Amino acid sequence: MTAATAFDELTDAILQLDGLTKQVGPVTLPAEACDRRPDTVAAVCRELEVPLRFAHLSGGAAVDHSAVALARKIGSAQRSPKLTGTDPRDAAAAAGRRRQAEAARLRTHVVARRDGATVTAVDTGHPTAPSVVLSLPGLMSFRLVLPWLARLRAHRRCVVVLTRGSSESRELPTDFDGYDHGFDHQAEDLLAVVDRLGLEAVHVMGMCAGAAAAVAAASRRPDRIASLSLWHADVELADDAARTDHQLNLRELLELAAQSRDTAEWIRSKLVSGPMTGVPGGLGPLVVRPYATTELFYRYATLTSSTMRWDCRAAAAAISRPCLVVSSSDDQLAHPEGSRRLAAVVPGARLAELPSGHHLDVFRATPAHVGLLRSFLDRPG
Amino acid sequence: MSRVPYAGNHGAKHAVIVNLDARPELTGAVLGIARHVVGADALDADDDLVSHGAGSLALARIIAIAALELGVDLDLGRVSGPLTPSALARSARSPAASRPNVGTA
Repeated sequence: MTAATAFDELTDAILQLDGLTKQVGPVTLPAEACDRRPDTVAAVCRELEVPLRFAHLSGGAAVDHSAVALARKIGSAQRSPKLTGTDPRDAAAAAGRRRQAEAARLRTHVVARRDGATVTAVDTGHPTAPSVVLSLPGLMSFRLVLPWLARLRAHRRCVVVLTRGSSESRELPTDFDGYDHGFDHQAEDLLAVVDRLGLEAVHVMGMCAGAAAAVAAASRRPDRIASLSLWHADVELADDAARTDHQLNLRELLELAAQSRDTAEWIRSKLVSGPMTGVPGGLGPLVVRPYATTELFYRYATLTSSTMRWDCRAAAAAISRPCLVVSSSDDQLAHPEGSRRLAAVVPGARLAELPSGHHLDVFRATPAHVGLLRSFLDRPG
Repeated sequence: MSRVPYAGNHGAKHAVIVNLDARPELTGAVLGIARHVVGADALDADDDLVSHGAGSLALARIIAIAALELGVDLDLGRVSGPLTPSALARSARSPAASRPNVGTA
């Protein structure tokens, strides 16, 4: 690894929290996350306009382990020996160049919905290329699927639809309360983005809980959806498929947390009072984002619990477009039986069950995943 | 040791069935909840929940059910050593002072 690569890794680690700070303001992380290169971390944060603060979190108050998880990648990046002897100004300049390059590749669209919600979509690739729309789980950042965008954008226009309530701008709790959070609205949001951008015959990738909106869109608007793929789907199939402990626990906690902000605050306090298990190194700060504050956790619970309640079987059975369903036999988060059942319900669906693979591999765009998608897109029928 | 089977009625809000002066009963009730959440009928009160696969979501769910059904606030921060049902029961604080305020806006 060169110093340039180390600069890039630190930049990417800090950019992972860009959307979070845009949404909630300055975020405080454990001081250990910048113990080796505080000046370099500060310079890059300034350059990227990501307001992070660093403090000793264990000074009497209980440690918020969501902050620990949010800081993990920054902490690791700033410990790189390749940063030894480097000038923080050089790190900042490199960060600025990397951000400019990213900005040149990405276009952002904000779609106003009739009920007052705004939906953000991030778009990359040539505007006239065949389109792939990526449907993410609630409150997740587009950065979660940057590996997919990197691998697809040479030949596809890629549009990432973020769920309502996750726009990367300050939004008051009263704003969130002012619009609908039901699943139907979330599904219509995806189609509204397709309409607004004038996309035709798109391929929709539904990832994890984002598979529900993909199923709904494909069944409602086959005129706009040419094909779809459902990746490690976490969808409601009633009693037709087993669920993992993770699915059962998450569902029950989110149902509770969605009842009120008070309840969400209490549940969140319990979740972050100890180490958060199952949070991977690289993607960790992105998947922990919904737990970063009570307000985000409440939104996550509200949006996700309505998605989890939506029984997708009738819509799945009505799909008339080619469909690829992907899972892995040892997915510990979303039970592979759900994907098997989904593939059985969608007429003519193709099931690809990998012998092994972590649930979060779906966001890493592994060679196996990319190969499956490309093969399917080449011959979807 | 008293073991109160988990009744699975965690829609009920205020079913306070134990108090902090009845630790064996509380331990039994927490054990019942833990068995239900972890899915291990053979789980014992002194078994390590983490080694039975309980991650942060499972632990939070055990605590939430205990708050809703038993009216106690289990505090992970007060547990030193292995996270067992009996250790969780010993961590219980004032009855339901901060349990989920289900249904309030």
